[in-house]
Amino acid sequence: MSRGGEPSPDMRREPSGLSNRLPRLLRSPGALFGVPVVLLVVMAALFAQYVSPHDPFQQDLSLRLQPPFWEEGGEWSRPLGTDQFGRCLFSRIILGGRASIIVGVSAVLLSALIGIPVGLVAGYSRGRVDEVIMAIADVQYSFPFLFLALVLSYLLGPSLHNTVLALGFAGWVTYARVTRGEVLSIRERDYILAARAIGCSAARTVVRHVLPQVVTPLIVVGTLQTAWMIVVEASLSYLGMGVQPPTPSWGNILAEGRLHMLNSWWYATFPGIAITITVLGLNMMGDWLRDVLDPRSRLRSQ
Amino acid sequence: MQRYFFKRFIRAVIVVWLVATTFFFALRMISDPVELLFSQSGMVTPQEKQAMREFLKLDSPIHIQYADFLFSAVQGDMGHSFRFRQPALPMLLGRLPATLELTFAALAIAAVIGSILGIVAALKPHTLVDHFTIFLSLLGQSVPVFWLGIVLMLIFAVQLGWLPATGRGDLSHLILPAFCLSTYPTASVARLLRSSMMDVMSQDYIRTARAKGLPETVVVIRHGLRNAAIPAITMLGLLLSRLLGGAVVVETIFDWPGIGSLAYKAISLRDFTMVQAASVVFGVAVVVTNFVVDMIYAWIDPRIRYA
Repeated sequence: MSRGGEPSPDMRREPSGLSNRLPRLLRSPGALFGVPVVLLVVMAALFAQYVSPHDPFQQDLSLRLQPPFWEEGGEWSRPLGTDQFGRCLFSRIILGGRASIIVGVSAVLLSALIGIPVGLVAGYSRGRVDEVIMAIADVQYSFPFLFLALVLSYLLGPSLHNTVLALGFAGWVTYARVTRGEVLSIRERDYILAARAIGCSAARTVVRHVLPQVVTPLIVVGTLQTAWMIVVEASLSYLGMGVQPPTPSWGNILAEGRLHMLNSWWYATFPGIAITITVLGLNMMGDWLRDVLDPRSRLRSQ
Repeated sequence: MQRYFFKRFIRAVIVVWLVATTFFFALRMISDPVELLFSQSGMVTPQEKQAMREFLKLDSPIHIQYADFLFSAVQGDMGHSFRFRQPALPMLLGRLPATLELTFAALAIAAVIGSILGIVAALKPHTLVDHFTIFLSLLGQSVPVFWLGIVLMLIFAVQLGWLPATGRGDLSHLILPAFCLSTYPTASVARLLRSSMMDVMSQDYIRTARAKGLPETVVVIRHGLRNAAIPAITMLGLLLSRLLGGAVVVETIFDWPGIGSLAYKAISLRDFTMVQAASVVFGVAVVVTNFVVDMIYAWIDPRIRYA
């Protein structure tokens, strides 16, 4: 895990400056697919009311279960067809994306807000405190995340707000573990010793000198975790324990669509595709960010 | 080995106790179980609530409840489920074989298909096969299990009629849910094995093996895979908890009679006793699998047992 010492052969072969790697990085799938997809989904979620062709809540029972535009009986103005109440599916999926993005990003921020300080304390203090914190973290890490999230939303009551809380509290361990791992190697470096020697307090050393070094790997982890949180949110909403209808979320649209899957294939299919593409985009963007920000981690992880 | 076994065993017991205690207090203190139970019913009189509180043994002081809970749990009594009208623990344990069958089938698929994909990609790096495998495994890590389940069910059970859609029975019932549950671990194994295999295949001992004139299959399997597989095995151990979580969703979709679908049913019915018992059972399941994985490691790698 140590980052110092002899450069590995791979690093010598490849110039490590970002400007040298940039042309290749810009041509990678992460840059060509991941980043644009994530930007598109975020933009659509932000400007849902301008992008959607229809009011996602407006019901029209005469239009119920209309197929997408390329099928017999479909029309251009409702490109992906309609749901059981005749609401425009495309507009609902766009607004559903907002729920996913809000939950994914807020849950990750909440987890980070809890996990990073815990990891800093554990890694910097070491000894007993570290042992106890990491023992708890290990237990929670090996506990099935989805079940934990389900129990928490059972306790808090299902809603968008509480889904964020449930996922945020369930997810802190990842940040604590990553932060601690980084801190353990950083705290042995000379400049930390120097900071301590000129009289920096422990708190100041951690916040001013250790924390900035941890940020890069955490950005990568955060991106990948956002993808995972979106999947878990969709699972919870699908199971009826997350975002509640009539507020659309990809998970609950899918759950409604499942009841109509025999005669209206599009209803459950499109929200699923929306989740897959978004999560794929975030995963690819996370891998790409790792290559851009922290090329050495590839070598370390292998 | 014996000392190591004993130390690990004590640790496992402490972890189970920790999990049980955490859930015991969380389920009582974050919100009122009786209120939750009645949240979906209409008008409920205070008398009915009080009767339920007594039935669930929630009317005594919390430290007495806790002592009672631990004492009964050690004897294998996790309370009586109000919704299912039977003791919670036997019901969960009765469904354990179904969950084990599903998760082990998924693990086996992940190990076999994941290895094949990973090896093939690693042997032909930066070719079309490699790119396709990378894409496939990225997709496998991104597709939501519950959606994949619905789509597969629609294609293979409804349209083609090849496989049964739900329930448990002969091998044909196992295929769809096990495949669904295995997508994420398969993809993870493929990705990890690809990179560790590429690393191993560039080592000097592989060149030596080839120079000795060994057939390429022997070089790849005996010299390459055996070394490259170690990190993948470690990861499979870690993926087990994720599989158990995934089992909750997959079992619910395919109506698979395991502990996952029962736990979900208990949660959606606000069945306090069953949720509590299921939490402990999940905790024990995780601890036992970790314990077994640790023992296997210690057996494979002598350095661990003396550390």
